[in-house]
Amino acid sequence: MDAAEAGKAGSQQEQQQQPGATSTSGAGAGVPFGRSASGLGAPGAESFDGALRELKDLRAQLHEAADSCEKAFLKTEKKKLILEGTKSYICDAVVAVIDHLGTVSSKLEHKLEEKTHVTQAEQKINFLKQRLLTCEQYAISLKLLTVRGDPDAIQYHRRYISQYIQTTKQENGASSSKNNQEVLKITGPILSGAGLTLKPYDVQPSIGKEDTMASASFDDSPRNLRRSFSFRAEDVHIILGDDHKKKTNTGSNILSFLKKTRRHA
Amino acid sequence: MGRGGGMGNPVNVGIAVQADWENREFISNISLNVRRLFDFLLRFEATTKSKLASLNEKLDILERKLEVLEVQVSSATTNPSVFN
Repeated sequence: MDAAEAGKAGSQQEQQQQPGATSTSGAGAGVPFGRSASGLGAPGAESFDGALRELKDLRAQLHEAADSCEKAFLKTEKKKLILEGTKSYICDAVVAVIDHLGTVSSKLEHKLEEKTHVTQAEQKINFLKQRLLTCEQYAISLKLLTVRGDPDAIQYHRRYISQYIQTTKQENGASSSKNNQEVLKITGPILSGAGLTLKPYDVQPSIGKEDTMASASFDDSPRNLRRSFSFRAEDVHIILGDDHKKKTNTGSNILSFLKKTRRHA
Repeated sequence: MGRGGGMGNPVNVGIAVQADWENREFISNISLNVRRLFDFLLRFEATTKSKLASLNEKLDILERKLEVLEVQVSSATTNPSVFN
C-alpha cells in the first residue's frame, strides 16, 4: 500500500516538475517516455526534420527529468519509492531514446536511398552528351563530303592528251588573223575537253593548285577565250616543233566545214 | 550498511545485499544498453558518412560533366568550326 502510494506520488512529482517538456515535445512527451513516444504515427515526425527535432527535444526532457528525480530523492524520506520510480523512468527513457534514434536513422536512410534527383540529373547529362556527340559526327560527315574526290577535277598527263593538242594546232594554223575571233567562238565548245586538260599543266607549273572547271575556262568574256587559245597554240608549237610549217588538207576541210555550219546557223 | 547495522541481524544484511545486487544488475543492464546504443550510433555515423561521401562524389562528377558540356556547347556556339 505504502509503496504504491509513493510511486504514484513520485510520478506525479515528476510530471509536475517538467511542465515545459510536455508543452515543447510533440508526440509522446506527455507520457514520460512511453513506447508511444516513437512518433511514427505523429504528424510532426513524417519527415526527417521532424524526427530530428523530436530527438533534440527529448534530450532537454531527459536533463530536466534527471534534475527533478535528484531533487525528489534528496527532499523526500521515502527514498526507496523515488528510487524505484527513477529506475522505471530510466528504462522508459532508454527505450524512447532508442525508438527516436531508430526513427531518425530510418528516415535518413530512406532519404539517402532515394537518389532520384541524382539519377535524373545523370540521365539528362548523358542525353546532352549523346546529342553533342551526334552533332559532332554530323559536322565531321559534312566536312568529309567537301573533301571527297570530285570526278570533274581529274587531270591527265601531257603525253596522254596529244590528240587534242594536234587538233588545236591544225585549227589555229588554218585560221587567218581576221577570223581568229570567229574561229575561237566556234571551236570553243568543241575543245572544251582540251582546255580542261591543258590548263593545269601549261598555265601553272604546280599541279593541283588550280581546280577550275572546264566551263569556267570558257566564259563569255573574249579575254578568257584568247588566253586559253594562246596557251594551246604555244603548246602545239613546243610539242610538234617542225610540224608547224606543214599544213594538212584535213585542217582546211574542218575549217571550211565549221564556217559553213556557222553561216547556216 | 551491513557493518553499520551490526552482525546480530543477518536477515537485514541479506536483504541489503540482495537489494545491492539488484541495483548493480539494473545499472549493468542500463550501461550495457547505453553501450549498445553508442555502438549503434558509431556504426550509423560511419555508414551515413560513407553514403554521404559517395553521394557527394556523384554530385561532383555530375557537376564536372555539366561544366564540360557547357564549355563544349558554348565553344560550338561561338565557333562552329571547332568540330571541323
